[in-house]
Amino acid sequence: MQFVGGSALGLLFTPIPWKVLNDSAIWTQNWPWIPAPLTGEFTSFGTTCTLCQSACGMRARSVGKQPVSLSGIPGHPFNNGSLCTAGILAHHLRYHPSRLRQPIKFLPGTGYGTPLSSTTVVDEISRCLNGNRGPVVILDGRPGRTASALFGQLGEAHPAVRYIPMSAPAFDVLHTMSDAPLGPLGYDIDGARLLVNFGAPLFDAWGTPSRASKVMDTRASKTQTVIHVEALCSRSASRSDQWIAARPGSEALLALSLACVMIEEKLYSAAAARTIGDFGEFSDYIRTFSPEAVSGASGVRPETIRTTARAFASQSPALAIVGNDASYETCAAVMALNILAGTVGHTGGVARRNAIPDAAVFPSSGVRAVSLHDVPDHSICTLIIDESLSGCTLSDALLEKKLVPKDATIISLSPFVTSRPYCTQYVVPSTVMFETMSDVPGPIDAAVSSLAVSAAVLQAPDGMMDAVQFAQMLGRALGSTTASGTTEELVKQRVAAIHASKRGTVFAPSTGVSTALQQCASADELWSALAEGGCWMDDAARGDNAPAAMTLMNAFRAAQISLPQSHNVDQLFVVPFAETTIYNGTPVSPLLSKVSQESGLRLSLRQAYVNPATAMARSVANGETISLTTKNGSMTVQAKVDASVMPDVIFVSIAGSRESSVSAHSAHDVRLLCNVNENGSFSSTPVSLQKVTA
Amino acid sequence: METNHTSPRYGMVIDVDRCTGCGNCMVACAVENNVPPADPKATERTGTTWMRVSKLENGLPFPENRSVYLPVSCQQCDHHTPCVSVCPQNAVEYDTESGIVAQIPVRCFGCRYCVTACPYHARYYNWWDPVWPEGMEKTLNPDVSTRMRGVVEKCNFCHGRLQAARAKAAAEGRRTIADAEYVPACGESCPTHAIHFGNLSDPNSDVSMLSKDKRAFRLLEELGTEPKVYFLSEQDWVHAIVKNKISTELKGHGNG
Amino acid sequence: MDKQLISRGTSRTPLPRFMLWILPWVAMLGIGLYAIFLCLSKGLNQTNMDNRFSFGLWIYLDLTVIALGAGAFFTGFLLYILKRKELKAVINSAVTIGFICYSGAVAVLAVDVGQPLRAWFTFWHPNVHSMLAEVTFCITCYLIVLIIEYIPVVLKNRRIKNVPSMLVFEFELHKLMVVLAAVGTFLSFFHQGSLGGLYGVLVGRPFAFRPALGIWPTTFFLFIISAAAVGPSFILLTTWLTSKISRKQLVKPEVLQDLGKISGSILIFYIILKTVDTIFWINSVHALGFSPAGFFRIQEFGTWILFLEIVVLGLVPAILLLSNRVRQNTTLLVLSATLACAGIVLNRYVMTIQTLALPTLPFDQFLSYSPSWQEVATFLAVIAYGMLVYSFSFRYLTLFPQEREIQSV
Repeated sequence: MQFVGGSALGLLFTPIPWKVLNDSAIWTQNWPWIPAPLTGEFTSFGTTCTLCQSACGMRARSVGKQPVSLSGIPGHPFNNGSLCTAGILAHHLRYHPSRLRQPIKFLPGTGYGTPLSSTTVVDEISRCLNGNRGPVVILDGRPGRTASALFGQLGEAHPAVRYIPMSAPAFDVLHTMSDAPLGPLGYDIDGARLLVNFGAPLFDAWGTPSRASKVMDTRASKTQTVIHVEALCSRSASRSDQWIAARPGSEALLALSLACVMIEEKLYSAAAARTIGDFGEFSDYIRTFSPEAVSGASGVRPETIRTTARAFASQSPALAIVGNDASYETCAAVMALNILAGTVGHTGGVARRNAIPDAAVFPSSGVRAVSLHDVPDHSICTLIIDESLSGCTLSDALLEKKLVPKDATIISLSPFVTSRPYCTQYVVPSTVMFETMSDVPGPIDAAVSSLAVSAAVLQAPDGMMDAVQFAQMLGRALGSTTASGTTEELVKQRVAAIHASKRGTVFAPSTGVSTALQQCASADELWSALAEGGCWMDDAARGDNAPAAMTLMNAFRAAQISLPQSHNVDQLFVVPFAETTIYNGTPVSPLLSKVSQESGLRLSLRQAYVNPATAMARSVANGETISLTTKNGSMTVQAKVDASVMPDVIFVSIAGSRESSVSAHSAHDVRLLCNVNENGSFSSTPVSLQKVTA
Repeated sequence: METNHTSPRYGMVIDVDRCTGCGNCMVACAVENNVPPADPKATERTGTTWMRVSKLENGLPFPENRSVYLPVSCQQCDHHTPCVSVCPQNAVEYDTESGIVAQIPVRCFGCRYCVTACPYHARYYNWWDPVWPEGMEKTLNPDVSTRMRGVVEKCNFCHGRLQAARAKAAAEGRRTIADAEYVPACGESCPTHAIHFGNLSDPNSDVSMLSKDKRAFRLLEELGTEPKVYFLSEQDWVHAIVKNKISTELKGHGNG
Repeated sequence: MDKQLISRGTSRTPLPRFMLWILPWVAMLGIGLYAIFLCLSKGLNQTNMDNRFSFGLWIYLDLTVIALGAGAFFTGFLLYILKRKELKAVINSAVTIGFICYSGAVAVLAVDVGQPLRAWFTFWHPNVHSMLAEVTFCITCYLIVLIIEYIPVVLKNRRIKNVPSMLVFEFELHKLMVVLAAVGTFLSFFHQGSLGGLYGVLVGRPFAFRPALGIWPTTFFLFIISAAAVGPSFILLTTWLTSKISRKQLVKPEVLQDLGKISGSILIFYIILKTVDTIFWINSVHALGFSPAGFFRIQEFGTWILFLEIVVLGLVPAILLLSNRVRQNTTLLVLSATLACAGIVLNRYVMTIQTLALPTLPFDQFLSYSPSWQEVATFLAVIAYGMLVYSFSFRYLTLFPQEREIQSV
């Protein structure tokens, strides 16, 4: 007994019990299955973000080659140190759970894909392209890249293949209004004194992420005024100088009404009017849309319309811009405003950029690009889409309309599993950012052309192609010649051509300043500046670049805008709502759950904003589930009661969703409930609302 | 909690009028601090967001309704810090060298008393074990260790960055670090430069001067906890609502 | 075997009937243990608690059972220290109830913390300023005291008494009782108080925060006094219930009346202090710039709740219990004791649940919380555990020494 007691006491003076305690403490610090970060020395490198066309310069902090965090490069001419929410998480895309690992073939209507080997898919694509089935269309969601040049070559070399570059929808319409090619376009927002924004999320990652900061900085000096038109007090609306609350779908009417006032009161630019061939016809057409006539449908007072029109005419240069999901009609009406104000091709207006000097391997044909709208409906047999870059979303409703029904094939290059249930589809797995070299054209809100380069730092998984390799594969399948060489070689040739042109300036992240390209001694020096996240910017196009001849009614005859019949005042409408373009339809890092699911800062999929008055009238409380039914179908969503949205309109989120994915028929996407416009955009649709009781 | 005024007291000043509510600060924070993506079942009340952007509304109906966004992280209370005194096992510490209230997750046993004590709801309990999609664990920040379920965590002004800046300064033989050398991830990621960060003890620092601006206010200032996060707004209604606490709070029953 | 275990001179229900009685409690305990297993293996995501409602049903349960279990320490204090000999009739039952309440509370606490394996850190890196550290120390120590107090009750069992060494052990322990009662009282004063301090120190929760008297917020003292007030009432209630269920007279009526009188006189003292405290609270909250009425603006937690707590479930039972005539009517006596207990149950609810439901920030909303089935099952498991321990104790141990006298009469 004494021995046991003594031993126990003695044991306390040995390290054993303390060691056991300590070890158990260490063990309970973390379960062994919790992942631990990599270990190693920090390094850093510069590159350019490819998630959208804004071409933000970014600095990656990395362990070895693996980026662990991303931040903007200060002083960069586009983003000046800022990134958008998706850009901060770009290094997660490589590990996205829906990453496609091998080629896959979907049969129509099934939604189930069969994996194919890399060689089989090439064989099948080759057979499909040479099957002499009918027109082949290559859609390029982001023109201006090296891969775009290769796709263009395919279009020129093969009679059955058409290459269609997709620019911003508004610019597509502007092209159709001009009698002669306008060349590349951009918004010169920096130079505009007044900006009338028809719903573009200007402060929410629409253009460059530094835009909000730039506009706020000018506010102190009162050099720029922003008027925002939208049906809800969005982030952009609330940060603008003035917000005009207009009913969803009435933006085109409102823009035409502004144009009407400008013509009535002779506020338009006389010089611009002279270039409009059908000015008389247009003036007659537009008289229907007087402020009084439009006021009812738009919910905007006639005085507000007149004041805005006068401001637009007097505060020159004034620029009207529109979001990427706008309807064809809205784009046409908004661009007509810019034409009337005479700011197309002027400082502070719609800038006409010089084309990027191109390498000899890519002879530019100068053939006017065709828009997808000009392709006859139900005519495309085979469609090739490059979806290797995030943010290049195409309207599936529009695609479906253009494809031959039932018998069409889509060949897409995509990093993620995407399926379109209405056709046979081959999906070829693509590389993502950091896995491949890529050149990035400039942002929509820059006046001049530019080029930046995204570096390949990580090894791409086996069997993945980048867009250039995809184009070369298609070339081999079609028996056409495309520029040969690795992606890096081809991009370098473009950079060399730019260097040879001696135009523009180059921003070097190492120095943080932009210098004239002429001071750049060699193409290699330019290359190294671009490869570390710098960018080349062209000179502004010189002198008066106003289009020589315009025909406005081209667009308006197609648009068929009419004043709506008065609707039942109690009628509810449903509108698809993308808070910011970057989340729309493209997989993003799962960490974005922080701003939606985990905080409610932004809507998640299957959530909808409802005005408190609308909710109260139907006894719906915040967070409750509601069922929405239109003539196209029904779905349930969670109501988020919010006083910043217009009464009687339900804004349903489309965050992180495609309108037609595998489970399209279960109507998880509100776009399936909405009426489709001519250009594949979605209009506000009458809806009935029922509260779902649990 | 004696404050040593010769050592730095880091603080933040957030210009509410510049905040667009984009959420960059929230995701940049999660990247920096190895906060995992949400569990599929997580909600606004069980998610982990060290930095959380909340919407503050003026309470008027459409179209007069206006709102601002308030990025709220740990307010780094300097005095009577509500969470420090309640922790039964000293897993919360007030660092007198920096004024930072630090959570020590490896010592925490998850009683959540501190979560209850914090009026800013800035403390987050790990309801789930962290899970990253396969491979994504390679993107974790080596300077910050991951946490397991059942412990509490919160903003520490990116303490890892302070350590790194101090180490760098020490290697170069300096005893102090400049404001620009140490900026938390949220401040770095803010696209509108709404978040200012620096040493409040230095009367010439950016934050020191802004905190004395007449536009400045703090949340729940009257509790006397001396938070080191300030907000700036020129809009009167923002000040009115922040001062007029309870009457506007009880708008309704919410889950969020 | 069963018969030989039952105390001499008492009769108990036949074994099959007893089995039938415990069966539902065993089932309830089983479901609860499964819920506890889920919470421990999968984590607290099994509950409906969240970062805003970070304390839920379980903490409420802990605060409540510990307040009701206060009968153990307070009866011990009255019996051994103040020499109120008549309370000997219920002391064993009180100790058993105390043991059940405290062990149940500690078990639930172990489930409630996220990392029970690290619970010993509180002793390893204690923060002496933390009310929770104080609670943990006192409850752990007091649970040990209660176990030591409960052991003699177990050892007095007819069969165990036959083992001579056990008898000696029991005798030795019994000599310790006065010391244990004193230690228990001291510890209980502290942890009942610290449980009150738990919420009273929350600077960030103006609804619960109370200014300090000395180093403790006023709730520290209010909790001690309220626990002392209802402890006897709860003993009264359980004794009466046991008597009803077993259909036996267990104690002389004067014992229950005595308990009621003790309860009533402390309760009236408590209600006066609580009223004074509430008035001070209204003033101090006002001084902070909050509107005291604002805290009661939500219908579910209107001012009626304050009235219910202080008047209907406080002042009324206190006055009733102080009346001789009421005490002589068993029905009224039991009803008054029930009201008194309900008052404390409500007080603990207000302190834990209402405090968390109320917003603090200008953009907060009023929060709702309803426990998940796992939380409820765990809660019920504690009740089932209590019923089982008490049922077995009642059957095989001498909880009410007077029972034999009364039966033999």
